Amino acid sequence: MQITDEKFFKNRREFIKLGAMASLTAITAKAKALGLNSDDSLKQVLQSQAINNTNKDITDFKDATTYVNFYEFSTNKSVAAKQANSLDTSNWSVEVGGLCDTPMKLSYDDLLKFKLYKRVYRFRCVEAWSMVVPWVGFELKQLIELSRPKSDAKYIKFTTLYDPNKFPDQASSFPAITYPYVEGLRLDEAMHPLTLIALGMYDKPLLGANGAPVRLVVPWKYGFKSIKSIVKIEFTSEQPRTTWQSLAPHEYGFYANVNPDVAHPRWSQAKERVLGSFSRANTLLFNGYDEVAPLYAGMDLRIEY
Amino acid sequence: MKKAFCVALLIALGLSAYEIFSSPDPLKAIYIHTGFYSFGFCVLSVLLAWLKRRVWARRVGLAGLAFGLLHLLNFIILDKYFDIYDILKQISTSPFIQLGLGTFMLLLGAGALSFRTSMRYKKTRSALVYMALALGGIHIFLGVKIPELIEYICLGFGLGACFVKFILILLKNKNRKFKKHQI
Repeated sequence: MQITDEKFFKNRREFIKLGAMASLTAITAKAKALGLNSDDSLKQVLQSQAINNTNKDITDFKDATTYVNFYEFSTNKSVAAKQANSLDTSNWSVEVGGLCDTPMKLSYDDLLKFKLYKRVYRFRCVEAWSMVVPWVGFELKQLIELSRPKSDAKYIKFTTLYDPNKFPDQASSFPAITYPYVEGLRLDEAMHPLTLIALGMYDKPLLGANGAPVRLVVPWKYGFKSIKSIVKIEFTSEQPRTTWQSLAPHEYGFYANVNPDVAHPRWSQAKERVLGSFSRANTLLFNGYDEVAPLYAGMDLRIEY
Repeated sequence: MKKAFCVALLIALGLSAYEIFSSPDPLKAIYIHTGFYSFGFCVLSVLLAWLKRRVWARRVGLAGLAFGLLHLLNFIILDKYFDIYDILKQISTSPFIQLGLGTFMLLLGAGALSFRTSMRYKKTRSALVYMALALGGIHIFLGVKIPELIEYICLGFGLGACFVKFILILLKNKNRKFKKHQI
C-alpha cells in the first residue's frame, strides 16, 4: 500500500479548513494549488507499475473483465460483460449529499482531479471465487474530507444509476434483483485508506463490465459491497438497507466482511477458487487485510456478518 | 443406434471439456456441466420411460448417473482435495450439499436396480429416479446466487414430475383397491 506523503497530509488538513466556504470550483482550484490535485493524469497512473504485495499473481485481464456479476445487464456473467461494455457513460456525474456541509455534484473530470493511485488488491466474491486486480482510483477518504460530513453522519450510502434505457434488467418485468442497487459502509470503514473509488483497472479506464465509469472497491469485503456505476453518495445517520440485505437478510449482512469461518448458508467460505486456474486457496479473514481488524474490535463477526 | 448414442455422449463430453478449459472458473464450469448433463439425462430417461422406450430409458439414465459421479468426484478431488474433514463438515452442515449427495445416492440406487437381474424392482427404481429429479432440481436451484430461467425450469420439472408420479401412484392404488372391493 502507498503511504500518503506528509506534505500532502499537512496540506490536506489546511485545505479542508477552507472547504466549507468555497464552491467546488474554488475547492478544486485550491486543491491544485496545494498539490492535492495530482499532477499525474489518469493515463500516467494507469500506465504506472503498482507493487503487488498480495502474494498472488495478477489475474489475466480477460478473466477479470469477462467473469463479472452485473445483474443490471444479465445474471449470466459473460452476457453481462458483453452487454455492459457498451454502456454509455458520457456526461456521468456523481452526486454527493445527505448529512454533509458541502454537498456537490462531481463530473467524471472532477473525479480525475483527486490524487490517483494504482493499487493491487485481492478481490473475493461471495460466490467463492477470487482474483487479484490492479485498480486505479482515489481513496474515498479524500472525497469524504472534501464533503465534510456532519457529526451525526455515521454511514455512507452508495447508489448505482437507475436507468432502464441503459440497463436491460431494470426494464424487465421480472428483474433479477431490486433496483437501484444500493450499498453502504460505516463511515470509519469508508475512511479507511484501503477503501478506493476506482476509475480504472490494469492499464485502462474501467470497462462497463467492471462498473464504469466509477465504482467502489473495498478489498476486505465480499465483492458485492464494491458497488458499480455509482451516481449517488449520501451520508446518513442510520445504517442504509442494502440491496442484498433486503433480498436475503439471512444470507447477506450489512458488513459482508470476508470471513472463512462464517459460511454462506448454501456453501462454504473457507476456500476460494482462484480465477484462471483449477487451484483452490484458503480464504483469509478480511481477505488477508489484517489492518482493518481494529474496525471490528469487540464485534461478534458471526452475528454481524 | 447404440453407437450414435456413444458418439453423442463423447461429443457432449468434448464440448464440456472445451468450455471448462476456456472458462475463467474451471471448477465451477465442471460443476455446471456435469450437473446439468446429469439432470438432463435423467429428465430424458423419464421421458423415454413415458414413451415406453425402457431400454433407452435405462441407458440414458445410466449416462445421467455417470455425469452425477463426475460431479461428485469434482467435489471430492478437485474442490476438496480429498479433505475428508472438510467434506464431512460440509455434508453435516450444508443442506445444499446434503441435497446433492442425496440425489446421487438415489441415482446410484436406481442404477443398481437397473440390471436385468433386478428387473422386478422396476417400481422402486422408478420412484428413486423421480425422487432424485426432485432433489436434484432443488440442488440446482440452490446452487446459484440468483436463479435464472434454467434453474426455475429444473426446479419446476423436478418437483412437478415427482408430484405427478406420486398422484399417479395414488390413483393407481385407489383404483386397485376399488376393483378388489368390487370383486
